[in-house]
Amino acid sequence: MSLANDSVPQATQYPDKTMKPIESLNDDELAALVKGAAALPDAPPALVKSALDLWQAAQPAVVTPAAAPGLLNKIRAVLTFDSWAASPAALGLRSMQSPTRHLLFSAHGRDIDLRIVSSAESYVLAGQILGPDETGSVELAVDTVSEYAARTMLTTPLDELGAFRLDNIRAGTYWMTLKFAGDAVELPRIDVGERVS
Amino acid sequence: MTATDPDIEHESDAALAARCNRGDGAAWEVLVGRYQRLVYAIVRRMGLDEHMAADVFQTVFTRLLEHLPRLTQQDRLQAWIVTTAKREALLQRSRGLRTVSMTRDDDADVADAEWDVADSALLPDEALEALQSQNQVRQGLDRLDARCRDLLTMLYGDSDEPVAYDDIAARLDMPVGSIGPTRARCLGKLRKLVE
Repeated sequence: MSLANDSVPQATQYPDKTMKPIESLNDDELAALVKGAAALPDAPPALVKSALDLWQAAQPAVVTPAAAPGLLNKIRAVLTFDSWAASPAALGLRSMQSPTRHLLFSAHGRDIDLRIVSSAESYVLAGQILGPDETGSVELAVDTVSEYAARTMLTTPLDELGAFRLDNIRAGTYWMTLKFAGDAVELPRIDVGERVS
Repeated sequence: MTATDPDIEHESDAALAARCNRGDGAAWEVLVGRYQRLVYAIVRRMGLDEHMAADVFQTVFTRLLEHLPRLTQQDRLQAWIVTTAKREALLQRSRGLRTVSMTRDDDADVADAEWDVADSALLPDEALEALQSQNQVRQGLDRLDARCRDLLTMLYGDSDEPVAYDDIAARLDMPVGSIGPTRARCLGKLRKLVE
């Protein structure tokens, strides 16, 4: 049910200066409260989604038992920092909005530093693995749940410093997997695009 | 993460907090849904722009998730959320304005006097109280049966133009004369839901 428009009502209708308990309101007073309730706007969907996603990010990394030869251990990374979620003061800034989104993930002894940089009409995903492995590859897949397109997969190798770069990425939702010797580290779903307020 | 248990939507805040602490992600989903409007309304009423409001919104839920295991009064979850939203919004404002210096107690479950004084001009207590009541009623509206919800929404929705009784009668396929009594019954049902 969508009852609210996008604006934030600045004037609230109070049945009384001091609210009575709802159960003791008469019909007219309750009706006035219903009017105010119907005008309460929903938070923007992107904000609600971010709040919902906090749960998954807070769950401990899941590690499967040792894989059979030729198979990969699947490890789920957790988001530990998102510059869009951090307050400007926490970043030592005032209210400046940086065009670069900085994400940090942690996965079983490895940290993954990912930066999403806006570049003309596309984006660059650049990152580095901070941990024991420096060789491997990165796979980036379009989230086929949110985008009804044929599943596309981009793959790029890690360089000698464990860094990688994917250019010309369109806005959308992606899954990123980093593959090292024996491990496949899955990052939480990544939304690439303009900051939604 | 989907709320598969239909009854979970009706559980108390304390029960949902306990579920979260047992690792039930569906309970977190319900809590976010229950309080997203209230948190957003508070931070916007505190005069924050969209970007600052987004930061505070995220911070409130981040802190809630971190704080759930330590929350000593789970039945006062709404008070904790409201207090945290006010505090974080004030902190954000103070960072922007650079005129107010404040401290905070991360573990407090209820409002401290210093904060109440600081925000009284921005969001008077009665306005905050009204927002909480409106959020409760909104949740009640969401749980009403469709016919009552439609009727009350048409009668008291956010449109500036009231919907004529004739139109309501036509849309809901009911006699005009029954709108008044049905309205009273629906308000009664709503009152019970939010008690």
